[in-house]
Amino acid sequence: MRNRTPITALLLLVLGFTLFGRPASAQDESPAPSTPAADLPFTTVGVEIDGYWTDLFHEDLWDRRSGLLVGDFTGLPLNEAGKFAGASWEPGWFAIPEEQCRPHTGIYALRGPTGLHIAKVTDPSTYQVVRYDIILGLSERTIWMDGRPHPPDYAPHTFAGFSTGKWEGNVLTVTTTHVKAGYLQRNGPPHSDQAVTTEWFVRQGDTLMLIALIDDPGYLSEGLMRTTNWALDKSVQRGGARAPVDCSPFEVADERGGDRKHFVPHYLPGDYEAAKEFQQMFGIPHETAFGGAETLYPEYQSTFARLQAEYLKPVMEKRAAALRAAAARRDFTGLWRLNRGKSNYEVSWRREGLDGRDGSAPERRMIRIAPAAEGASAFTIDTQIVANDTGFHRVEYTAKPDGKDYPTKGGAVETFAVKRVDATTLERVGKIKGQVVENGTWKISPDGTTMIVTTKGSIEGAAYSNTQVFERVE
Amino acid sequence: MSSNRTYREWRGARAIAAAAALAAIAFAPAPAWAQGQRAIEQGPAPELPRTLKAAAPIDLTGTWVSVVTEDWRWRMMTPPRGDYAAIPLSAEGRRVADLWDPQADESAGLQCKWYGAPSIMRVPGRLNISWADDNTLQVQMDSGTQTRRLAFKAPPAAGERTWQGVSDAIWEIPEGAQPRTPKENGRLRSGSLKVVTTHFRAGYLRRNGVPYSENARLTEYFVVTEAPNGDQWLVVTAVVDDPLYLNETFVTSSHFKKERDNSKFAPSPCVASKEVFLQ
Repeated sequence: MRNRTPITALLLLVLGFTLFGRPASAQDESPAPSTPAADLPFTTVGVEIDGYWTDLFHEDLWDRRSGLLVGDFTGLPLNEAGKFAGASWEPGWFAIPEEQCRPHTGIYALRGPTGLHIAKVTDPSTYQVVRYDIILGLSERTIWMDGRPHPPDYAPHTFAGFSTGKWEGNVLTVTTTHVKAGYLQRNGPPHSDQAVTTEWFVRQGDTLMLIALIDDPGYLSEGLMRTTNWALDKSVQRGGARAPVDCSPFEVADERGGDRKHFVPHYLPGDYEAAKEFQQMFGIPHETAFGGAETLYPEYQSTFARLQAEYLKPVMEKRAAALRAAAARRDFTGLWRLNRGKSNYEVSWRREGLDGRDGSAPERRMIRIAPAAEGASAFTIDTQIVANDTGFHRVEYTAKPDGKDYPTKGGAVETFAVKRVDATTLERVGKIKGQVVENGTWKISPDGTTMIVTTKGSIEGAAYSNTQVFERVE
Repeated sequence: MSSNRTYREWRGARAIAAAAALAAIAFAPAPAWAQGQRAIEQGPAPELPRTLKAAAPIDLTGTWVSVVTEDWRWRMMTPPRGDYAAIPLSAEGRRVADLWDPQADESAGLQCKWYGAPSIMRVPGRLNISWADDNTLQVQMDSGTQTRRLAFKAPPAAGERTWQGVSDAIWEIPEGAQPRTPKENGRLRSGSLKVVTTHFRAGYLRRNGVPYSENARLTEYFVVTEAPNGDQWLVVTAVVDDPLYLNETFVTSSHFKKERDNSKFAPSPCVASKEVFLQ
C-alpha cells in the first residue's frame, strides 16, 4: 500500500489526459479564429470614441477658426434660396444682445474652434451604453444609443437637435433631426429647421474623424458632405475641450452702441458690395463665390478658369496701365505687395503663430502710398502677421518728406520722419518717446516696378534687420 | 497499509491523487469527441482569408468623384503665392515654398509635383479603383493620369522613386470581428483600409508650391459610408509626416461620391499651376 498511492495518482492523471486531454491542435479540425497573425491581410482596431479630443485645423481653417469673409460660400451646394438668405448676413449679427448667447446648432457646433469631450453614459444595471454626451461649451449634444425613436414631426426643435446612434462595426452612425434653423458657417449661409444630418464617427488610431452629411431641402440643392478631424488629447490638463458655459443675461453686453432697439444688422437683397472684398482679394467672381452644387465637381475647374479670366481682365488691364504710368513717373505712389520669397528677415525673437508655428516673416503685407495735402504722402501698411489669421494689422501715417516727426496710428513706433534723398530714395526714422528706435531706406528700381525697403531697429530689446522687396500692384 | 505509515498519511496521499486527477480533467482541453460534436453542430470553423481581396470588409471598387466642399479655394484654383494657411510648415518648408517657380517646374518637366501620393487625393478628379490581383488594389486617377498600387505585403521599395511611391495596405476591422463579405443583409459592413506609402518623389502639398520631401511618410485610411438615399461615399484620410518641411503631422480627409459608371472618367495630363496675380 505504501507505493500504491502515487501509482494510483499517476494512472488517474494518464487516464484523465487520455480521455479528456488530447489537444485540439492534434486533431483533424481547423483551428478556431484567433487574433490575426502578422501574415494575414487584416488587423483589428479599437473603436472607442469617448474621451478628450483636440481640434486639427488642417482643413477649412478660415471657416473653423478665424471666420470667413462676407459672401465666401465656396464649396457649398446652396440653392437659390440659400444664396439669397446668405447674402443678407452681416457680421454684426453676432453682436446684437439677442444673439450673443445663442448656441450653435448641432449642425455647426462640431465645426467650431473647440475641443471635444465625449462622455459615454452606461446603464448601471446592464452596462449597456445609453447615450454619448458631447460637451462643447455653449453647445451640448446628446446621442441616444438605447434605440428610442425620434420624436414626431410636431415636436419642438432645439439647437442641438435630436440624435440617435448605433454602432456598425467600427463606425458610430448618428442621425439628427429636430434642429432649429441656423447657419452652416459663421459667415451666414443658412440651414433650415428641416435639415437632417447623418454623421459617422470613425476612430483611426489617435485620430477621430467625423463624416457629416447634411440634407436640407430648404437651402441646399444636394447633400453637403464634410469631414472634421480631432487628435486624441493625452494631456493631463485636458485643455482642448471647453466646459459648459452658462451664458446669463448679465454676460450680454451692448456691443453695438447707437443701434435702435432690436435692430438686426443685415444687407438688403441685391446689395452685394460687402461680398466684393472676398471676390477681389482672391479673384473669384460672384457666381462662383456664392457656391452651388455645380461648383463642387472637377469639371467646374474649366468653367471657373473662364469666369476668372473674364473677371480679372479689367483688373489686369488696370494694373498694366498703372505699371506703365509708374514706370514713367518713377515715384512711390501706388499699391505695393511684399514678395516674401525675395525678402530677408533677421529677428532676435521667434514669432509664434496661432499654432505655435514659426513665422519669421509676415504672412502678407501691402503698402499703399497716396498723395496727400501740401506735398505730404499718406502711408497705409496692412500686415497679416502670421498664417492662419485672417485679420490684418494696419499702421497709418501721413508725412511730408521734410525730416520732421509725424504721428503714427496702429503701430509700436510713435512717430515717423521721412526725408527725400533723391527722386527714387527715401529715408525713414521711427521714434518712441522721442528716441530713435528704427532707421530705414526705401528705394525704387529704375523701372519703377520694385521697391526695396531696408530696415534696422530695436524695440524693447527685440532687434530686427530686414530687407523687404515689394512689387508694384498699381 | 504499511506498518510504518499511518492511516492519516494514506488518506492524505489518496486525496492528493484524486485532486490531481480532477485537475487534469478540469483544465485539460476539450476532448476530441466533444469538439467533433461541436463541429457537427456549428459547422467547421471559418477559414481565415489569406489575401487582401478575400479579406475585404468593404467594397472600394468602382468610380468615385471628388466633391470639393472643403478647402475649395486651395483645391479648385491655384491659391496666391505664400498662402499656406492651415499647413504646419517648418521654417525650412516656408523658405522653400516662398521660392515656388511654376515656370521652372514646367521647364524641368516637373508638372506632376502636385499629383504625387501625399496630395493626389486633394486634386479634384475621379478615381477608378479595381483589383489588379488578389493582393493589390489599383487606384487610377484621371487628373494627371496617375496610378497607385495598394498592395498587401508590397515588395520593399527599390529603384527610382516615383510620384506615387510604394504603398503597403492592410485592412483594419473592429476588435472581435471577423472579415466577411463587403455586404451583409444588403448593408455595407465597416472597416478601413490602412495604407502606408513611402519612396515617392518630392512634390507639393498644395498647388502653390507648399513642399513635401521625398522622406515624408504618408499613412492613409480608406472608409466607405452609405447615405440614407443610397449614395456611397469614400473618405480617405491622409496623415503626412515630414520631418523636413512640417512642424507637426498634417491631417486631411478627402471625400468622393460613387458614380454609376466610368463614363466621366477622363484622363488628363499633369498641368503645372499658373500663378494668378491678385492684390
